[in-house]
Amino acid sequence: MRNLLSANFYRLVRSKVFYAGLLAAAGVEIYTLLSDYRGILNWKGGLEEAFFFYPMLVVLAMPAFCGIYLGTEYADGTLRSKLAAGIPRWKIYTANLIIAAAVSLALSTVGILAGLALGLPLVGGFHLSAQTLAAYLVCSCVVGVAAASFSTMLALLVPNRAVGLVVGILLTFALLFVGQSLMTTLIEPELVQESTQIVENGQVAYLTEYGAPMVPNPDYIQGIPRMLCTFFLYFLPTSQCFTVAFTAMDFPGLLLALGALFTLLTTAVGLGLFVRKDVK
Amino acid sequence: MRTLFSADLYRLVRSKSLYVGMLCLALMEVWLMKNSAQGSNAVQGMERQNFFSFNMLLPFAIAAFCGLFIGADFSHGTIRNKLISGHTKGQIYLSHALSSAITAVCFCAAAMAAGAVYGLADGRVFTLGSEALLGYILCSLASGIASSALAVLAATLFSNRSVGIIVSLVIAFVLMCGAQIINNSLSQSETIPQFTEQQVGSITMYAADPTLPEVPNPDYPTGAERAVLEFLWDFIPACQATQLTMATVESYGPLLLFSALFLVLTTGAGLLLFQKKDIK
Repeated sequence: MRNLLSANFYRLVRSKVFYAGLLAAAGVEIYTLLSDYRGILNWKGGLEEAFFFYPMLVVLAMPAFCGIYLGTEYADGTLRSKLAAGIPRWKIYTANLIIAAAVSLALSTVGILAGLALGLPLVGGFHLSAQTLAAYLVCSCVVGVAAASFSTMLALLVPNRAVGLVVGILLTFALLFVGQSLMTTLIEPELVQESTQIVENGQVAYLTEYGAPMVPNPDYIQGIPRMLCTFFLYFLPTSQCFTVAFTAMDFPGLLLALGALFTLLTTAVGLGLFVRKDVK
Repeated sequence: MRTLFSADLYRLVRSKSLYVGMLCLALMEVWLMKNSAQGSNAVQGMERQNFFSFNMLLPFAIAAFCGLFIGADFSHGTIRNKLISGHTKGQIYLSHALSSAITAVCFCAAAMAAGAVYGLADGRVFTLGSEALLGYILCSLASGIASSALAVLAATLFSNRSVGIIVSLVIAFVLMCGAQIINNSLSQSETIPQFTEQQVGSITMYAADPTLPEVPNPDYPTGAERAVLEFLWDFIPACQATQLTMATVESYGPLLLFSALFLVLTTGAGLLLFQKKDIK
């Protein structure tokens, strides 16, 4: 196992894809801060309003990185060589998972450092308590590790590197849309101002009666659908990243627990299928 | 050239990526239309209920397809064989471009067919006239073909299939984000109300002060900046896709011409660069 890990890390520090990912993490953080700092200063907000966007990049970058880096094991026949050398499959999977998790933490670290280096002089400090800030930082790292686990599973189960890459990236995009949809659904308020819909010549307008009593919002979901939406919001890394990015994480403990559960489940499924897989 | 093209077509109709892409776009179209019949959209025509939103997803689908289809030529050494057998680089490139254009048309057709069947079965109708509807369909096809030209350029310039796929998808993503930024800029109003600090009970908030005159909006683009943004808004396929999705196309002729111009320029650039490329 130690040999596997040292070989993986040796390859990692010489991998151009890794450094491209680090650059992208810093770039996204810098771009977000430069786009939003004026609004933050105008509205006297804190650094947290534009700081936690790096998990979204990590969630997108991990399938790309794992598809290329781990997919090379199939393409170059390295996997077959490792098996021929007598290394058990679970060790190969675990070593690759550790590398992917390390990369996700490296990307998150670079994002945090770039954000602090530019954000503190530009915008000032955070308007969060130390405990809340620590929770967001830890949860942002957990999101990355969960994404790494999912991407490792895909990369090691799809033998064709290019197909694995396409499936991983497009699936992540689709799940990001799902995550955004979950977030939008759950932030609907319970009560809204009463308004009447007016349709004229195909154009729709709403006449709002300010001052009238608030009415129940028809778009507000409750009961089991709300529970399910909340579960998936905190379970999938592609939705977790939205709660962290928009500092809308109401239950950090839930994100930590479900993030760990997601990582365990994807690792268990990936390991279980990989051990039985026919590596041609 | 005819032999090359018929070989590419033969491979295309047996390519799983084509059918998977068509299926995915059809399913996404139905899902987007299903989620669109809420709020103000419920009383509007099908064109405002996400019927043309497949245009936003098409660049990703075609980028993935071209990366797999054209990248296979590099990875299997087929390009080298084609050159050895006497075909020129220009013929090979044009054959790929034509195959990808046909794929884009297939993707558009699958999405529109699925959307039409679902929408009509759900009792929805278009409120556009037949001429306008034809205009939208032709602009969708033209935008899709222009996107395919860009995807062919990216896939052909990178011998490494995985890198080609990632670059194509990143370009599609960057252009989509760029389209949103351009849309936000062009949607800015020329003047904005002045915001002042107001006390509502015990809460201090910033709100628009109707007693003060409106001031010029600093984010409103003028002069050369506006001209450039308006040109890009009609020229870039991702921006055209946004216009088609929002059903805000004002005139079809210029959009079709810009798509043709984009196609010619991208294909010309691709041909030039491919001629200089060293096929190892």
